[in-house]
Amino acid sequence: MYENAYEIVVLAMRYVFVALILYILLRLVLHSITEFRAVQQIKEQVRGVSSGYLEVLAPQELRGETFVLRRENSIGRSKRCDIFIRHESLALLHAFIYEKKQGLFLTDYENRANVYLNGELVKKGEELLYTADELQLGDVKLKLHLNGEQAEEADGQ
Amino acid sequence: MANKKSARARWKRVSAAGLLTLIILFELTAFALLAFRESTPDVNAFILGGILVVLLLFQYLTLTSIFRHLDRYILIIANLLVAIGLIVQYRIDPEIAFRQVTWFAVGMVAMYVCILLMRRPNFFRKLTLVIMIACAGVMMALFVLGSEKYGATNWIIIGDNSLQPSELVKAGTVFILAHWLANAKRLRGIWPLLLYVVAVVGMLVLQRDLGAAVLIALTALIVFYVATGNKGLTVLGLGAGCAGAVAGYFMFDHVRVRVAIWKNPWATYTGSGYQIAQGLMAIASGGVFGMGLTRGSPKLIPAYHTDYIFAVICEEFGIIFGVAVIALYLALIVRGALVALNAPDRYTMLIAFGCTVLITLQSFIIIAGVIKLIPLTGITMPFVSYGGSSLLSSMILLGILEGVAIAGGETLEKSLREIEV
Amino acid sequence: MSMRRNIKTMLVIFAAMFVVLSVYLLYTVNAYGTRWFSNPYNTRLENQKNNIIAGDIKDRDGTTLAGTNTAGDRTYIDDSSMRKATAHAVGDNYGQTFGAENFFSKYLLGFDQSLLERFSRMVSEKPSYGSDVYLTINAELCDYIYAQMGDYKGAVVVMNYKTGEVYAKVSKPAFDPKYVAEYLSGKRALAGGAMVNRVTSGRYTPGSVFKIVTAVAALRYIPYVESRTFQCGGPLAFDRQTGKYLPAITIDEDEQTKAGISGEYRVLRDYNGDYHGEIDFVTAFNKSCNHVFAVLAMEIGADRLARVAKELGVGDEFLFADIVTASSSYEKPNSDVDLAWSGIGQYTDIMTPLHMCMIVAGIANEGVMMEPELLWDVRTTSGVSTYTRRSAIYKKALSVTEAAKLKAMMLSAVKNGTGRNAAIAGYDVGGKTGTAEVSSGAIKPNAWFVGFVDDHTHPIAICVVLEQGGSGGGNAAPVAGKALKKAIDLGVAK
Repeated sequence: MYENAYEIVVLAMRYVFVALILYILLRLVLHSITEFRAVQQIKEQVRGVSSGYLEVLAPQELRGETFVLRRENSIGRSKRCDIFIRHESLALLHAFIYEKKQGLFLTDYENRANVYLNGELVKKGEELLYTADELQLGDVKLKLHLNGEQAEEADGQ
Repeated sequence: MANKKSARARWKRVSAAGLLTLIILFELTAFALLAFRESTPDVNAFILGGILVVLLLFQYLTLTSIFRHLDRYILIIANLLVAIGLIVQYRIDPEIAFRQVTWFAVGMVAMYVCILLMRRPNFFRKLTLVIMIACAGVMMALFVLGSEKYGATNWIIIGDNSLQPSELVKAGTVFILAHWLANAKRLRGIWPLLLYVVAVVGMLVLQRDLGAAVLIALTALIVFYVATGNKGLTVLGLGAGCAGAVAGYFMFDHVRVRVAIWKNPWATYTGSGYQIAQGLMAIASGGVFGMGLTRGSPKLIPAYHTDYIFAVICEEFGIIFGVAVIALYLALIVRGALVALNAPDRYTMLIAFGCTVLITLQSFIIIAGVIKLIPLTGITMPFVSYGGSSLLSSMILLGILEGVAIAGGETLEKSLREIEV
Repeated sequence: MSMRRNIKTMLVIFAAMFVVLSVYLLYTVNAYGTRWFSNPYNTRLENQKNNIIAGDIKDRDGTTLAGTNTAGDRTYIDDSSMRKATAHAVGDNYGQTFGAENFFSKYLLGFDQSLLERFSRMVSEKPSYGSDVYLTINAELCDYIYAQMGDYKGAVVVMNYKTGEVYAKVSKPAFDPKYVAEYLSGKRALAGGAMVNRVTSGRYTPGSVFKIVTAVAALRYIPYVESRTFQCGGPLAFDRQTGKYLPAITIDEDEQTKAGISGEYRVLRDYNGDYHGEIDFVTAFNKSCNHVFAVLAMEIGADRLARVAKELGVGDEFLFADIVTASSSYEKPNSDVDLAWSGIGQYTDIMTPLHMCMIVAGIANEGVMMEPELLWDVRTTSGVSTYTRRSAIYKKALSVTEAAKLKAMMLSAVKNGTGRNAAIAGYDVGGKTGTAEVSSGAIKPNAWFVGFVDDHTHPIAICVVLEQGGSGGGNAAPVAGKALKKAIDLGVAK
């Protein structure tokens, strides 16, 4: 008698399990979509305003500071720069980071020969920047972080 | 300005509490059903169900409170898959279920470790060479130390437990691939990578672990394509792979056998085709809603708790449930790809994508093999199949994926805060 | 070069792969599920027999062909010739054949019982019974046909061409389901091949019945073929090496042509050396003239003839819900001589009796081939019917005009042609005979007859194959005629 009753319960539960798993799947997909949309919105906003930020790696006293990048950023010791870093090794106006169609570019302002990209001296002209690139201006080491789709365009040719 | 403030307030991670409740309900109901199999209730079933629920809640609560940007859904899907596997394993033999849950706990710890390690991904980057040598070394050592199990000679058997180190090599390979391919400009310099991949795949083929060999080869190829976009070389690699497969067909007996039983398993029913035929009969017996938990005959199928667990699921839970499991894997893959797309830099992007590809390929290959879409290869279903090393490596991949998700989320949050200056 | 774009591409590919996986799973279980489940190797079926009393297998009139007695043993109808006549349709209880015992075990062993039934059964504490299965066959008809086949081995299948119901599925020699255990243990002798269902698994050389296919191709691709006259004056000659047709060569009927070789040529001749002189298309069909059909086959060409065969279902892996049957095959010939022989049903042409019957049924049914059905009803022990029979169309193979023309040709073949032995008083019967050579003279040819009754109230089609039966018109046609008459008398189609 017990086996028969158990059997009937098991057979009835088949439908319950299928319904449950399908509902779980549905909820999962719906939640996922909502969250995806929220993240996309955030990214839109961030992207709309800035393409990324610079993070200071050295010297020790400035380490961890971040500077948001806009379309054009002058970098230097002067307070009138878009990104102003307080360090004697920097010139008043040291370097320039600006956005073009192909991506973000770095240039040594007035060829002071004191701007390094990933260890190499930046000579005449402009250098295309990639995310995680390391810049050195004077004694200040900076790491570049690019955002969202900008990362893609910067990586592209 | 008001816009941005509300945007920040809006970026609250959607709580998955409702989903968790449903999953807990599912797990407990199934274990309750198993507990009342005999007229005297089986306490162990309740204990196992309880342990599972506790582990799930522990993971969810601790991880979401420490890391706001954890991908909850990947965590939930993985836990659900493990639960489904455990339910079926307990139904077949309570002892293997308890062993699996122990490995699950170990895997959980490994996952936590991986999440923490992924906070400093560059640490791994510096160690790439070490990882390469370690993985290749382990593979070579298996020629000497390895024992045979299920046709492959790369198992390590200690007492009652057996491990397959090649599972861990899979995870290591993801890091290696990501390092060499992250800065795609240096295409000329990636010959060490090529050497490594060919060596590892070759060793796996020699050790008769064709499933793992195919997995690593295809993963390398796909990650290569994604990183470099070089269609020409990818097609060349694919061609080389196909040529290798055809060569393998003519050279190796067991490859020929696999293809023959794929085409018609009934012809060699008493011999090599037995497993596939049994699997098909089990799936057909399940019908739309399944025969019902405990009413099927899973032990008729060889490898019922490992490779063929999908057939057992279809037999007892039905085809619709089977399709739902496939959909769960797809959801996992989509979210994994999204994590990769949100990664803060190229290195972690490739790592996340590599993990996703591994899970995709592994689940596809085994399910397709069981339903006779492609020839059967001996690999396990990620998270669901019984197997210590399999579950461990799946949890490690999970941890790595979550680590990248957290990093990506934190970077995005940081930028969000920055622009509100 | 954009990594993110590549990731998105791969994601789409992965999603497509998984969708294919799901769809394939659903499709494959839907199409093949019953056969995998009913496979005699499936021990679940055996196990279920311990839990439940298997239902009865009855014919369409309710005659119980197989049942279970109080001791739990499987019992069969008392009449031994009827047992054998219906053996292949009913199947056996030891998993040796793929008859109803296996194929419909889903119903017989109660796998399809609803929850409500189980619940009420549990409450009432009655023993569990599976459902009873009613087959579409008429046992009396099967018995009669089995006797009419005499000592010949072979197959006879009788179908309703409007609905696809199979009224008789007789394969001889047959086993006796009552004694299968004794056959297996060796206590009883079994005729060779008795376990093989020749109706569905018998792959025979069709011989002249294949001219139906060639005739369809001729009507489709050769304009004005019906108004042409042909000269059937003697054997056709082909170059020995290349197989090319040599229309200019005339060959005399002599000893050598009997063996198909006349000096340096390969030869195609008519049966018994009967040549018909000036003849038209319809008469050539009636008299089953090899010369004309060989010439037509060559005019139609291998590609088009193969295409027509395919459109009639040759080469199709049939996936019928009720019946598992082998495929017919037509290999596309490469030379004239092979093409000529293939057009008259030799070369490597293979047809199953069931398929030939389906084609003829299609002709009688205005070009619509119906799917053969074996399951008439399923009823629970309380008599409640749980199955709705739906006639399914297999293919719309011919246009209404083509079907009408072929029907007329087949009617005239019975009235004036080689099929006259199949005629019945009071009804119009259409058909085609076939005498299929299976070797160069050592073994007698197989006798074929395929045909139908042209009547709304008795829409019956038939196919008879007698192995080594000699002349189709001489030996197969009379069996068919008698079978059709019996089917009409029994009123099977009502």
